[in-house]
Amino acid sequence: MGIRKNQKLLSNDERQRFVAAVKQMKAVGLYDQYVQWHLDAMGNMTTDPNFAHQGPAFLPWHREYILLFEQDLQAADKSLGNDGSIGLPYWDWTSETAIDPTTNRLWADDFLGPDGDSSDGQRVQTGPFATNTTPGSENWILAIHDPMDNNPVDFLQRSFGQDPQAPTLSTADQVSNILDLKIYDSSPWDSNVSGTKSFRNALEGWVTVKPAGQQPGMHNRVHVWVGGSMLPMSSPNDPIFFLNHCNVDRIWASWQVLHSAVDQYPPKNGQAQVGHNRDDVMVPWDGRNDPRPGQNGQLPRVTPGDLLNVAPLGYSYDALIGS
Amino acid sequence: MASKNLRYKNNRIGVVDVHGQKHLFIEGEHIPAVATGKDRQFISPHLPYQKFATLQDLGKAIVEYRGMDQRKKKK
Repeated sequence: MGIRKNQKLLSNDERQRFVAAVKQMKAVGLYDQYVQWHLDAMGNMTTDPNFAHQGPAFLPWHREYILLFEQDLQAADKSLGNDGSIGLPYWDWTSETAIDPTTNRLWADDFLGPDGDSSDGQRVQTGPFATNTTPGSENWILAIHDPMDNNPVDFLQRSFGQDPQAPTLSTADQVSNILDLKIYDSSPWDSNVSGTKSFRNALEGWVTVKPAGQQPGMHNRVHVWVGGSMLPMSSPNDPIFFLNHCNVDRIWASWQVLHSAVDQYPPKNGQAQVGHNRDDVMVPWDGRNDPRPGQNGQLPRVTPGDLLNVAPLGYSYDALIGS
Repeated sequence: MASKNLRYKNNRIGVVDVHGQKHLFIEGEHIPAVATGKDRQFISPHLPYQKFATLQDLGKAIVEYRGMDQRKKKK
């Protein structure tokens, strides 16, 4: 059983192994497949279905996504001569809010690296994910881009707290308030469900959450607060994406423990949009050929209903909220 | 067909009303966006984690995002 830890509790060795494994995945083309999957799942957000967002499957889709990522991370760790025992860490953005790497080691040069440089196109200048295109010294070159971006850049960008919609991150009180919601999701099963009728919509971040309502909130707010490469559909280009979603998954796991007696996933039999009902096979985990380098089989067939309990999935969290 | 134009950080943002449906353009490029919910806020695949009260607000935010790239390329 793997235990997913708060990133601030990782040892120096665990931090180094996580970074090395992520970069190994990037080097062999695995990491970019995750960026592509995310892009593909979002569609065009206007006429095509969004299989991963703005609906009940937002949480199970990303649970499967980061679970596969974690398994590939562990394989990469093994390929580097370690025992593959690393887990995906989470960023508790309600408490680790400082942007100074000396105060918040999340952004230190031996881990995720710092904010972008406002005098240089918000480019991240240092740390393991600072892009270098010099032949022979290539590092973290963004290769998968939003197809609607006519002029994408190939370097990692961040812009902490600069967007007027998200100068701060969501708070512990706000997380506590959404954990009180007793309904997982409701009709119309999209980004417009009332915040009182959808834990999923509140956690995804489409509704204001008391106290001091904010929209975007929670998960969406992290994307907007980090800014830069986290803003478009290709947001997994920034590895902080995975630490955010690990925390989102932890909040969902906490809700599942607190509300085990309620319907854990209500939309069934086509009530919600395609891919978002309890027994719908999620895209791309529908048995299609596995496009990942080194994989010759098929991807698993996974439904939201398969993912409603984390224990059988082989991981747990070092700390849930409110239990 | 009615249109409203504004300039924002050297970009021309236009909102064109075609048979009651509004369309956003930045420097002539059509930006896909849909109005959603009771409050008819706009969401676009260009900035998929945010909603905007008006198409002009969405246009300004996209200019800001793209400005990061342009500042770099001018160096």
